[in-house]
Amino acid sequence: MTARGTMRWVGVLFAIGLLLCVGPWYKSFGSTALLAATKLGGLIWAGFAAVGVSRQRDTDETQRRPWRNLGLGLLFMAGGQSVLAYHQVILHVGTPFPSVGDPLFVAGALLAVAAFIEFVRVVKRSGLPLGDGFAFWWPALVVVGVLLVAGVPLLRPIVIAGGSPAELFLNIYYPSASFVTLVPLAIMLRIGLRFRGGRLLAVWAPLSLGFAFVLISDVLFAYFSMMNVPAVEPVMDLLYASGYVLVAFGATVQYRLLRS
Amino acid sequence: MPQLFEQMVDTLSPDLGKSSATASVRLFVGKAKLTPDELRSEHLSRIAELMKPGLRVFVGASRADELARAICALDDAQGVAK
Repeated sequence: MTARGTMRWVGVLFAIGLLLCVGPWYKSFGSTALLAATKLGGLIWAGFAAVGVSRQRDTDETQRRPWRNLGLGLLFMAGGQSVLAYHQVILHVGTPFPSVGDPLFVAGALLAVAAFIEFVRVVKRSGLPLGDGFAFWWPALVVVGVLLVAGVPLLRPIVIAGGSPAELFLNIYYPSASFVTLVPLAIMLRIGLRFRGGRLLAVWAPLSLGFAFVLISDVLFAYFSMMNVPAVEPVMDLLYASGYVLVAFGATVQYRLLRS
Repeated sequence: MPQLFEQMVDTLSPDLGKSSATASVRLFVGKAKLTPDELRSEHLSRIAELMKPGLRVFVGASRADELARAICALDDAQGVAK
């Protein structure tokens, strides 16, 4: 990696770290609107960039569908986020849960899972030396192993906390969808890191890392809403916001790479 | 490392990064049933064709064609692209 590239990454990591550190205080000074705008803006930007990649003349046929699914998924999530933003910023009330935004988040998550599974399938068949057998699948195996051990203890308190059938379904669905997405995502993150020093690192590392942030936030969200732990809310918001911006950054780099 | 091999790696490195570029060149040179030492400019177009489908997946058709053309233009005698 060039010195400039390294500095850029250090800058991104520093900014994320800073956001995570100042987040809880920042939030308390009335930054709800800014955070909501960052999340919504990040999702819309990421969605359009990903759809843009799928529509590029240069995009390989095998990559069109996953990029389109990812883009549509992100735009569905943007729809869901706009419902949340409406309550938080315009009405100044707590977001109802479940809300009309939840079906959009559910559909968005499904499309994102489908996209990442297909990315892995396409990449595996690309013919580039990205590992065979265990060398290719080990990140997924590690994630599955961790989830087998940690999944039940993580979901158990959510189930025990109860709630209406819709609340319970969504609180189990969001972290479960996140766990499922994490499996192909781990593979894509490893592949992204193999491109270190190249332009493709700037596509796949932020995209995978951004989704990882969103997945962590989904798990926190399930805890926050069911277990009533308000302390995690600022961290969760910042993880969502920085995750969406990272995804947008990765998709934009891919779009520009295809147009250059 | 033979000069042509290194030039191919240098051509792919800005997109794939040095490590993936090296692994890719090694793989496709091997697929052409050659060793890096046996690599000559007359082999380049075949290797570039072998690489193109995989490159297209990541960098798109135009950039993959561009990289393939740059590889074909490498010259083992001159040590530079023609």
